[in-house]
Amino acid sequence: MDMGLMRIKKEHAKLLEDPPSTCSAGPAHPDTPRSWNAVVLGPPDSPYEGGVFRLRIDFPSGDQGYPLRPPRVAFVTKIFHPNINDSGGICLDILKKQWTPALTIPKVLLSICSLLTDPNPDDPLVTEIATLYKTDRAKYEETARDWTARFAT
Amino acid sequence: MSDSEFEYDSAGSYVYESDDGGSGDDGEGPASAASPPQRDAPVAAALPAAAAHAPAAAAAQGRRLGGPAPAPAPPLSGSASLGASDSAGSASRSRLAVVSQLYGEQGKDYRVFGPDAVRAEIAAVVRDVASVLEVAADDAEAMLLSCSWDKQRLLERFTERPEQVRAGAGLAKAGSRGAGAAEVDGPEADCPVCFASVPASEMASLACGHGACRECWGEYLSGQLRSRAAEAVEAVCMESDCSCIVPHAFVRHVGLAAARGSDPMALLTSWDRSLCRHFVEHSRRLRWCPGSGCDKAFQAVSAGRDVECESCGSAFCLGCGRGAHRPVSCSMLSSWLEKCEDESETANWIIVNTKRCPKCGVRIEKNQGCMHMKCGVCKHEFCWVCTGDWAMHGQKTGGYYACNRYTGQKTQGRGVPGSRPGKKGAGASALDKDAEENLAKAELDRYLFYYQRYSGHMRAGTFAAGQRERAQQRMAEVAAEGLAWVEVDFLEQGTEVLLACRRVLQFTYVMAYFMADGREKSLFEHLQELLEGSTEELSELLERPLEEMDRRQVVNFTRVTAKFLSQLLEGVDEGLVDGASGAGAASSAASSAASSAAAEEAAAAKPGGAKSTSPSGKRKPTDRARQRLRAAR
Repeated sequence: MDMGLMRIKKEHAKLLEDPPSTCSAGPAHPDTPRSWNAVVLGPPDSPYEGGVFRLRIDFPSGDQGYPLRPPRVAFVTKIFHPNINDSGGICLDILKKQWTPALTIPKVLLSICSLLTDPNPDDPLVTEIATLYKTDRAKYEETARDWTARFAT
Repeated sequence: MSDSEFEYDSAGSYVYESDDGGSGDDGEGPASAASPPQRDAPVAAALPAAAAHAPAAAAAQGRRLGGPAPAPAPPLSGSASLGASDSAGSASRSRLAVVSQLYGEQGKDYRVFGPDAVRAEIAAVVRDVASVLEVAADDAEAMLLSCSWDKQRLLERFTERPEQVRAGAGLAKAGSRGAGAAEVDGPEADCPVCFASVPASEMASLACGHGACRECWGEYLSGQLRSRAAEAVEAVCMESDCSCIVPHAFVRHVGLAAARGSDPMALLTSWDRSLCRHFVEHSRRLRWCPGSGCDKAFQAVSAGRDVECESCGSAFCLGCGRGAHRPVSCSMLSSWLEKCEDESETANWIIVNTKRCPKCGVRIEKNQGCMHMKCGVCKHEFCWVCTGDWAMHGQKTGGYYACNRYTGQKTQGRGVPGSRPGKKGAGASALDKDAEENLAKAELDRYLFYYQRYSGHMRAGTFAAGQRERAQQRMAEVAAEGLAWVEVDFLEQGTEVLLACRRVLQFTYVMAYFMADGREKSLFEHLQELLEGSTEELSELLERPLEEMDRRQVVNFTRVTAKFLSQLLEGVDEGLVDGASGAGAASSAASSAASSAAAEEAAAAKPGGAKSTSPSGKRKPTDRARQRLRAAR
C-alpha cells in the first residue's frame, strides 16, 4: 500500500478514536478511501452558529500525492463568507502554499472553523462579500445568518 | 559590492574550460616559432575596437597596432595560442583568435565557470563565511542562501544582528542540537507524515526537533526538487509554521535511506545541482550561458557587453543575457523587440486599411477607387462600403450606390453594376481620417524598412553560420589530406568575420530606427553602408567554390571588412558626433578618412573589372566614402 493511502486510513482511524467536538470526517464510501465527506458545525458567536456545513475532501493520489500535496477541500453547503465562493472553493493558505505534510484533516477542519469565526477580508475570494464585511458588518452578519438558516439547518 | 568572492584566483576557481593553454591574448608567445605563418595578424591589426572594451589589454593592443602597417598581403606573424598541429584544435583556436577581438576578450574582465568551478566557488564562499563568522559550514550556506549569496551584505548584517540573520535563514539559535537522527524514546516511533510505526533509527529530525521517517523526508525533498528547482534548496521543515531550514548534511543523512534501491546518490546529486542553480541564478554576479544545454556560468556585468561562450559558441550579452547585440544598448533592444512583438503598428494599419472578404475572410486592401470588390482568393464579389453581396447592388434592389445611407435602406438610386474605377466612394472618409491613415501607413513603412533589413541580416547570418561549419569541415578534410591547413584557414577567418558583421549589421538597423535624423545618423549610416557593402562583397566571395576562390582576395576583404566593423563599433562606443566641435569631430573625421583609406584598399584588393561592386548596383564604397567625408565636413 502506498504511503498516502496508509496515512489516510490511519487518519480516519484516529478520527474515530478521538473525534473532535466541532467537526467530523470520513470516507464517503468504503470503496473510495480518497474521497471523504466532512461536517463542520458553525462556531458559536459567529453568524454561522447553529449551521451544519457539509464539505467534500479529495486526497490527491500519485507519487507526489497526499500528504506531500494538500487535500482538496470544498464546501458543499452554500455559505455566505468572504473567503468561500459559490462553488464552495475555500481560500485558505494552509490548503495552498502553506500546506505541509505534517498537517492533518482535523487540523485543516479546525482552521476552517476559525476562518468562519474570523474571515479574512483582506485576502478575499468574493470581493463583494469582503467589501460588505468591511463597510457594513451588521448587514453582512444578517445575510450570513439568513443563509445559514436557509441552507445549513 | 561583493566582488571579493570572485577575486581570488585559487586553483580551480577559474576554469576556462578549453584545452587552450594560453588564452590567446599575447601575440608574442613562445609558441610563435612553431605556429604556422600567415595567421590572424592582419585581422588582429585591423581591429583596434577591441581595445575600447578591454582597457587592460589596451597596452598590448597599442603595441600590436604600433607594428608594421598592414599591407594588402602582409606577412603574418604567429600567435601564441595557435601553435598546435592538430587540425581540430587549431580550428577552434583560430575562431577564437578572430572572435576574441570582435568580442573584446583581449582584456577579459569577466570569468567563466564550468559546473565544477561553480561547485568550487560555492564551497569557497561557504568556507570563507564559515571561518569569518565562526559558524558551521551548513549554517553559512543557509545564511548565504537567504541573502542571494551576497557575502559582503551577509557579513555586515551578521555583525549587527546575528540572531536575526540566523532566524531569517531558518537556523535555530546558536548552540542548539543539529539535524540528523531524531531523539526517540523506545525502539519505535510514529512518523507524523506517513503515520507508520518505524524503528527509532529511521526517524530523522531537523534542528527544530520536528522529525519524520527518512523515507518521508526523502519523498518530501525529492518533491521539492521537482517542483521548485533552484529554490528547492530553501526547503524548510515539514511541520506547519516551522521555518527551520533543511541543511545540506541532513539531505545526505536521509538521502541514502530514501533511495529505496535506486541510485543512493540521486537525491544528493540533484540537491547539489539545485544548489549550483541557486548560486548562479540568485547571485547577481553570475548568469548562465544561454546556449542550449550549455552548463557554463558567466560572471555578469551590469553594462551591456557581448561575449562568446568558448564551450558552445553562443554569442550573447553579459548585461541582459540575450544574444549578442552590439551596437545597440540592452534597453534599446528591449524597445525594439517589444515593438516587433506586439506588431501594434502593423495591426493598426491592417485594421484601418483592410476589410475581410465577407465570404472567405481573407484580408483585402482596397487600392483602387471602385467600391465593387472582387476577392482575389474566392472570387466573391462584394461592396466595399457595406460588404454586402454585389449581386444585391443591382437595379432590382434599388441601385448599387445606396450604401451611403446609414440605415442601409437600398430602395432608390440608379446605378449600373460595376462602376468606373477611380470613382471616389461616399463622403464618409473625412480629411483628418485620411491624414491619420497616412501617418499610420508612413510609420509602418518606416518600421518595415528597418525591420526588413534587420531580418535580412539575421537570415543571412544563419546562412553564414552554415558556411562556417562547412569551412571547418573543409579545413579538417584538408588537414586529413596532409596539406597545410593554412591553405584554407582564410576561409574560416572570413566566415567568422562575416558572421560577426551580419550580427552587427542586423542590430545597426535597430539603432538606426531609433536614431533621430541628423549628422549623427548620417555618419552612422555612412559607416553602416561601408560595412554593409564590404560584407556583401565578402559574403559573395565566400560563397564561391573553393577552387575558384582567390585566397588573397578573401584575406584582404576579410581584413577590410573587419576594419569597417571595428570603425562602426568604435564610432558608436565613442559617440559618433558627441562633442562634434572638439576631439570628437577630429576623431570622426579621422575615422572617415580611415574608412576611405580602407575602401580604397578594398578597391585595390578587387581584381580589375572582375565583377561589379555590389549586387545591388551601389556605387563603389570609395566614391561613397569620399562623398560622405565631404558631407561630414
